[in-house]
Amino acid sequence: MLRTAILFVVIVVALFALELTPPGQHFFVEPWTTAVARVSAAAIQLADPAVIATGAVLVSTKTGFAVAILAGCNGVEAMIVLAAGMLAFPAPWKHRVVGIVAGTVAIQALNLVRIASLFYIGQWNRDAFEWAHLYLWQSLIMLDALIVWMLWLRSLPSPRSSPA
Amino acid sequence: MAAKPSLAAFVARVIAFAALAFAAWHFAAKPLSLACGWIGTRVVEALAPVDHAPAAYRDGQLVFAVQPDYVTSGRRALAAGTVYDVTTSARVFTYGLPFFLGLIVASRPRRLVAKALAGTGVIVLLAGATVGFDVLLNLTMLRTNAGDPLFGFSQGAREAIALGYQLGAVVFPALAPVVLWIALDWRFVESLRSAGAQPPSDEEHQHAEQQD
Repeated sequence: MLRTAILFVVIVVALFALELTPPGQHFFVEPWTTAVARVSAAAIQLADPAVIATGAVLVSTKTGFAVAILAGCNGVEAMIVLAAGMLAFPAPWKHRVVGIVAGTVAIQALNLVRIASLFYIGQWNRDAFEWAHLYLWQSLIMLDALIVWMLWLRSLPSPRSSPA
Repeated sequence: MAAKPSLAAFVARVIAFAALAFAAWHFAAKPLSLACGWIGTRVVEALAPVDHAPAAYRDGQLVFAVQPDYVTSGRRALAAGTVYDVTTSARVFTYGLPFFLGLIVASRPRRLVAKALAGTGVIVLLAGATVGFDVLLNLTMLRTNAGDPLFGFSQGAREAIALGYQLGAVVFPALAPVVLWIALDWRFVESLRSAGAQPPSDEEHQHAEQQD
């Protein structure tokens, strides 16, 4: 446990430090966040054509309501925690890579649901939006990452047969 | 295939207990905020040139009455007893607490109450420190009427405060509940792998804990 815990802390600190540096923000977080906004807008447009994305801002041309997708709303923190959890735990590299890719997809899929739900909750009720945005969805995204990690753990070969 | 319902049952328990814990957290906003405010006051008074920075709870927010110290007041020609109100919220830094309680109650480790209290203490401590850094961040932005910074924080101190706030606001609330739960119930995690897919039944889990 100690080895895994230390590795986890080192990896998570390194990844968060990378994320918070100006190059990390410029070359990864900002383009990622813009892409999340565009994909979210495209998904919402399937049901509501009055939604457009301007940079990382989703706007309803019908009501004028807009939400900005910022750091903390793009699923990157959950992806970092999940990746650190998979890299720190003894496992074959193939399983790690597959797990990180699958985890990224799972987190971003739920994040899409989060953004779409918040976009409409915000147009309905400001207090409900704040509550869902600041408290509820943050926990659900982390729960999503945790479930992916537990499923990944169960999928690992038994320690005796693992080369790692 | 038999393992899937067990993991699903665990997740269902987490959601159910976390929902209850969220309700308790909502109604305990005042004592929880005041506990964070007390810790935040210690952080501010230790790191900023202030005499006092007591926190009060008003309308769901924490309001810190920050009184600059004698040297700062003299340098900036402030009237005696000048106090600056800085408002922040502890709730945005403690939302991980009900999630942690949902996890720890759902996995039911031995000495559950002690572990739940220990985890709660750590989360409140981190949230309180973050509240303190939030106040400090506000203090770095205060200006005199002439436009000069009110407090003489160095560039390094301003960056350290910004980093402390970033860690507390972005990293800890998401990370702390999961990491604390895993650390406090490591056997549950190990059993996920060693059982080759099957989380332990409650009886197996309790039995393994008793052999610890």
